[in-house]
Amino acid sequence: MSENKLLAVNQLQVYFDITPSMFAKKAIVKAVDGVSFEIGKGETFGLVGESGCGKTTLGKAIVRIYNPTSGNIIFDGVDIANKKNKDLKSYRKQVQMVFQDPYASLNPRMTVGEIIKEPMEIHNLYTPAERNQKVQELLEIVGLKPDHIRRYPNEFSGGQRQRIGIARTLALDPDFVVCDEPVSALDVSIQAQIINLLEKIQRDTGVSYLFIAHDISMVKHISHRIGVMYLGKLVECGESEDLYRNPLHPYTKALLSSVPIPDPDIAKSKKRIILEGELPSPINLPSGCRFRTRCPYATERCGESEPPLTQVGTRDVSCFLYEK
Amino acid sequence: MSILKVENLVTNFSTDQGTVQAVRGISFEVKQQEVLGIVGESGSGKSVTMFSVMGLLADNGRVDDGKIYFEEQDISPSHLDKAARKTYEKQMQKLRGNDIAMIFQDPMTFLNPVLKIGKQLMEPILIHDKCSKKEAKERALNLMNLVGIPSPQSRFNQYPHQFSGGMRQRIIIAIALACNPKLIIADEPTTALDVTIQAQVLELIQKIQADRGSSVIMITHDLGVVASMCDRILIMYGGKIVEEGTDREIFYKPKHPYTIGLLACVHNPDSTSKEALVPIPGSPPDLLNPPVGCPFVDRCEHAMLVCKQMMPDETRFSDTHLCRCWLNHKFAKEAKV
Repeated sequence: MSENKLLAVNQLQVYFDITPSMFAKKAIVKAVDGVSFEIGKGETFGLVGESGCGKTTLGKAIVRIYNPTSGNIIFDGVDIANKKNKDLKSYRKQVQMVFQDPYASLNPRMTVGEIIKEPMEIHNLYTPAERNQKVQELLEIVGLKPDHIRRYPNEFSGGQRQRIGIARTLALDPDFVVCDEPVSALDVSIQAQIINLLEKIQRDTGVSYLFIAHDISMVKHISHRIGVMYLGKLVECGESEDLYRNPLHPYTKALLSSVPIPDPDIAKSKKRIILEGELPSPINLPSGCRFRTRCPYATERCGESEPPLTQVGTRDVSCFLYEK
Repeated sequence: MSILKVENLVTNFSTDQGTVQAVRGISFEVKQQEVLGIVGESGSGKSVTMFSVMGLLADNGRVDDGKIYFEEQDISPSHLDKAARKTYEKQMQKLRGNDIAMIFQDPMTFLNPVLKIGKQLMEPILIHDKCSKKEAKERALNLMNLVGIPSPQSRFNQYPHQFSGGMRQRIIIAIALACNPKLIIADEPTTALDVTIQAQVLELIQKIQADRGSSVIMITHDLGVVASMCDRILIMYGGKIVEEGTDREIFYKPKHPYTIGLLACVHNPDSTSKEALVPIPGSPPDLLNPPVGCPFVDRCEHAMLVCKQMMPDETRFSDTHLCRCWLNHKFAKEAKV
């Protein structure tokens, strides 16, 4: 793993200051609070968690749409967490993002050809003729027709728009793509088309993905390893099949048990762990372990200090239940 | 006895581009105490069907044909003259919120942002049961308790923006339950929620259905939710019902290529295989100009000449299981699904 490591995130923190006025008490949202993980070349790392747990913020901080408060993002041996915008140009060429909402992420006044060409123009790659050639190739890869090049995004369905978005991210031949809920806005029968396309691209180009989603069955299908986030922290991280079969952290257990299985015999006999209550506010985090307010196994100790991420077999878990 | 019966329902919308034929002649019934699932992609007509039943279509939509019966009482909104429309509206106002209640998809837009939660909860009780305000408040507080809202007394006087998404969805369920409806129509009740909250809400609907013996129609595109909740399932595609059966018939013995395709393109997380998902190529038909034949013909790998020209009749496999596909016709014996 360490030889073909592409990206290492180390104790990353992203805080947002939301103090409403100069005279109000300071209010800080700790959206991402000390997350560490690694992604290898050609690997897909899945990130799951409920809305508001900070998974999208983490993805956006990695592509430097947000500036990290502290911590390191080491990409190909270089720490880019604190680099200035003007020094990030080569990084931005290697790292791309697929956005959640295919209706909001494409400029409605640009044709499909212009949208896909734009990254190449910004980075001054290829001659104009080569660019057109490349656009044609990309359209073919993502399964759109060559004559779509002159059309506008509003003429396409959600699934086709997402394909345009994917073609745009591929224009620069990136090494790493952050996919932020790329299929959650699409119908089931279309979701599978996009997932298969992403998998095919990975097989052909060896690109690595950070795949962010709340649909665990989808994440499990596409990812090699999965990280589970809760309120800005990674609570568990491991091989996807292993983590699904044998979740350790109480939150992962509850999360997996509440996934509805598309099989009536299993689904109707399945025992769901129903979590009490809802996500606490990220402004007023509980002391100690963040999950303790909803955890069925919480003890006094959980309120006193925060459990560190410790290794249990091949797995990383942050829970006192697994401390030796 | 069936609680709701729909016969040959046709609903159209007039738009600038022409008439959108959203629902194209569907018939089904809901039995007492049953949970019926309606599955389909966006634009397949599942929500429009329910809005037609409730008489809540947008201004440009109308029911052009078909009969709707609620407990044998005719509530069809088609072919009405002015006087009949008036009686229909009166009749529906009595039923809506009282005997038939709807749980809407989006908890953010359903609640009135400038009214206190308590007031919104008391509204259906005051309108339908003509009781005193004091009694209505008591019942509203009980409902909040029932759907699991902590400290209802203080929550009663709060506004919707002070509630989280899951809490708002519970309030919507509480409003739907306010008058002990015989039929609850849940239109994607958990789509906007996280899985852990979804589990809470589904458990709540299940518990209420069991306790009160109401019937439930669950509209959803999530096959996992259908598998865990429903007794019987309708599969809709392009404004038509293409397959209908019990949960086990649909999941274990699907007959329509669309149902088969739909099941193949969801990943069952319990299976260990890493095989690729089998997507359904193409996209759903344009209902401005719906195909004459089977709506699925352009995406179906088994499509035959006849599929383009005529809508197939229904084939029965059991008392509960029926499917509309030419492959089940006796002349199409050689074709294998």
